[in-house]
Amino acid sequence: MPYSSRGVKQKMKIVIIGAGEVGFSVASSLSQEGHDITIVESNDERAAKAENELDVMVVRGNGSRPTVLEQAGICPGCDTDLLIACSNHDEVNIMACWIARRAGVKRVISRARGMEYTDSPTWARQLGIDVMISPERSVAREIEEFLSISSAVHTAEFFGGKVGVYAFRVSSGSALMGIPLRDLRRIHPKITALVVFIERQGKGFVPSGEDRLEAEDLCFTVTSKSQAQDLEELFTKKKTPELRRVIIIGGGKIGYQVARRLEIRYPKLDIRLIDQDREKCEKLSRELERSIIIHGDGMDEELLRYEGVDEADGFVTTTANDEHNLLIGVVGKALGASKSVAVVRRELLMRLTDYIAVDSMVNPNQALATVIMRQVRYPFGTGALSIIDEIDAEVLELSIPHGSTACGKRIMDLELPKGILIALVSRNGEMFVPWGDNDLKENDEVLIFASEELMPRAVEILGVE
Amino acid sequence: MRLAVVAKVLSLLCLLVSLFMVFPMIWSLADGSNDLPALSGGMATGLLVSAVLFAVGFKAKARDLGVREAFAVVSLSWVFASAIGGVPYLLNGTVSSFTDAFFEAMSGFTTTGASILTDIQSNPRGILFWRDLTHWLGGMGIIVLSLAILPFLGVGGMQLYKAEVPGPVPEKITPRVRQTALLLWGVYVLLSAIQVGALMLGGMDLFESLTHTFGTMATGGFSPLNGSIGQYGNPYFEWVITLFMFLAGANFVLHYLALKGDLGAWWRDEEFRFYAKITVASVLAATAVLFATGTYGTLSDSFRYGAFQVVSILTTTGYVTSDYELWPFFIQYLLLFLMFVGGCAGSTGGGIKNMRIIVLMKHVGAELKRLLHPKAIFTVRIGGRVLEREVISSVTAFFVMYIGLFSLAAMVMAALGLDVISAVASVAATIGNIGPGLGSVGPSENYAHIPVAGKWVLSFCMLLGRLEIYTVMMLFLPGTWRR
Repeated sequence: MPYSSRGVKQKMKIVIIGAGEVGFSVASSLSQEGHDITIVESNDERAAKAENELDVMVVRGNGSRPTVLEQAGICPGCDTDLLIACSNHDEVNIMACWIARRAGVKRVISRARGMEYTDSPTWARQLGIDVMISPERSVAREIEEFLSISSAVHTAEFFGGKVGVYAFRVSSGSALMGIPLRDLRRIHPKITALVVFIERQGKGFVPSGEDRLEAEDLCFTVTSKSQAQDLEELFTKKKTPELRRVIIIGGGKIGYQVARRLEIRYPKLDIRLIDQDREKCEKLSRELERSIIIHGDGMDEELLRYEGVDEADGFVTTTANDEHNLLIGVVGKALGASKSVAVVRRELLMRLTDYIAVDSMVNPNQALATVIMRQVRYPFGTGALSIIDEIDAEVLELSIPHGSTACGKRIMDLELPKGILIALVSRNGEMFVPWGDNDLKENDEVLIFASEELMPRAVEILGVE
Repeated sequence: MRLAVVAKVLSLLCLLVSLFMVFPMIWSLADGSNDLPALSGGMATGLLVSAVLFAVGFKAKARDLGVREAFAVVSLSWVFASAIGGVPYLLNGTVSSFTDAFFEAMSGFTTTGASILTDIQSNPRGILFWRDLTHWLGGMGIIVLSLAILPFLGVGGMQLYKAEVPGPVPEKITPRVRQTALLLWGVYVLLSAIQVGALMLGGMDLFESLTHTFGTMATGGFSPLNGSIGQYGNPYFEWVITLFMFLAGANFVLHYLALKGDLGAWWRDEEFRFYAKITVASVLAATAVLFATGTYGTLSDSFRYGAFQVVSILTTTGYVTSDYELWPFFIQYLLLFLMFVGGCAGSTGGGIKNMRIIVLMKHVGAELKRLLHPKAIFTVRIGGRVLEREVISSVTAFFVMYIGLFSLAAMVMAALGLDVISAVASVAATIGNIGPGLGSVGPSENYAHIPVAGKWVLSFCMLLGRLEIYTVMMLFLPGTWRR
């Protein structure tokens, strides 16, 4: 929810196009936060579901038609604050955004299924859309990062995708044990990283420079992607081994994205993608240059063994069906794959992490919902907000505006309450972990770590409106 | 098959070929030599044939030109052009029979460069100019030329273009086929002009610069000298010609892009990289062997002769600077092997073409991988572009036909009394449009001694090679001739 300079919550009028899985979950959480929601949906069944289960208004019709949008309150002179277009069709989304823009809607957000639209921010800008997001892309990035480094928990696009949040567990032999955190930086001056949260024996806290690391501490650390592997070695004394083989089950958008990202990042990686649909396989084999596309059943033990599941470093299940993904993920693990990731879309199943033997679950709807939520809550954030569910904390990227009271002040003089950390500062393209006596300057990009309750206060102190 | 439209288009092509005889006449007039009647006779015959064909096809409309007609037009135009183009040789007494005249002209138009002339230099310059001009016209293609200068062929033009331009997937670089044809000819003329300049800069006279350029840019191989390029013993000429043979064996679309300023176009092209690698590897191998065996005393001589001969054979030009039959067997075999590889798609070179070799190699690679992953689906790509299954199967069929027809023709040649090496080499050198082969058709010999039937077989092979088999073979399908 946006906070005015006075810190008062504002109620917004929001129009959502499409009440599919994504639209529905976004509408549901925004409605619970007290905003006025109008949903535009052409499918009767989905429209009825939204009407019955949510406290929202539903307009039936095609979201790319001006008359339909007018019924939903988008017309010149309207007071709609935000349009979120998350139907399954890019054409509808883009058209709806365009009409809304012309009608004077302040912010428009669109989901993009075509991967080209999110390859660079240029498209969104040229189409006059504030943000274009692809859930498939975010989730593929999460999967890629998880495969690359076991400790990855969150890899939002901080500082243009260079920075992520990683959770390292301190192993008993680590050289870092017993060292106060502030000394970490003195001993390893080359490493740009800040431990922002420690989970110790079931309890979590935001550490200060005096805190010392203990064995089995789970350290949530903000660091650059390029250093994550070195850091992992420092904390846990072992490095995630170089990826040699990854098997992907399901050649939908996510499966394709994962394969493509892996192809680019690891030029020598052996990638095998299995899908049941022959036509899809043909298409994939045209689009993916190096991956081996196999037409077959992901649950076929013979096939999995034949394709070397026992030597796979990564086993990713990305079919359209949650249960299949979980089950095949377990099968892959049982057949010897060392790490398995499953794509799961339903909240309920996500909560089964402790009962199911897959190493990680990723949720594309959640990824999209997170992006949309942060756009609604912190429309001033230049880039990203990341919600780290495991510890109920948020990471937010901000730019210090002109005329902010924080400009020129030392960080220790800002009197940030305990629990708010400035994790990283990026100034003129250079990135560093700030000390208490560092000044903040205008246009600094800062990465703030705080709990959901404290974040508005942090935003206020930094003078962002 | 609508024969009328075929006749009409053919009549125009015959007219075009006949009119080009004006250029050798200029040399004849300038020299005051005695070949003017022969050239005039040739032109008159051409005009007569053209007139008859026009009368037959008078009423036909250009839009009647379909796929089948296009194949017929293209194949027949090369046959008619060769028949007309051979008339001056016959009338001048350069050759003694129509068979020989046809063979020499076909060898010219198809840029083969296989000759039946023993004493070339005894001929007047008009005849010799015409001989090399046929190379130059045939190099970029008679049809492509006519597309460029005859506007009326517009609609049916693409059919004709596809039937004549070498390569598995002819590219159109502009929306209109006429513009494409004009641009390709433009690049061809420009490169030719540069080569003429470069040769004259080294002291070659205009006549020999022109004829050698025609032979080079068309990857033909006719020289007005008895001893081919080797007669000069001039390294500068040899290196200039080596360079331009190499360029002529590459895709002209790339040259067009490069001339437009995109110099990276060459190296970005997978076929060009492959072609360059084959060239470099073969040149190095030949140089090393020539030097190691002491064939040439110095490394620079080994390099000079090795590079020239490798490039000449690979690009299917067929110029010679030394009698490679005296070289070690390994190099002789290497040259025979390169005859099959040939130039690039969209070049003036012949052979199977680098593009097809790449396609075949990738296809074989995919088949082997399929054994490892029986359920996998593989796609063959060239330069990032997906190759359709139809293209792969057409390339495979082409390869089978090429090898099949080569074997059959070689068998016929052996039946006519040639020894095995000569039989194999004569067919390889004609179906690949190279010219000189091995054995009795080697670089120091010629094709004069081949029996009449053999000359017709080899002429046919040249046509097959230049039009890349399919176009010619279509004429033998009964379905082509049914309405």
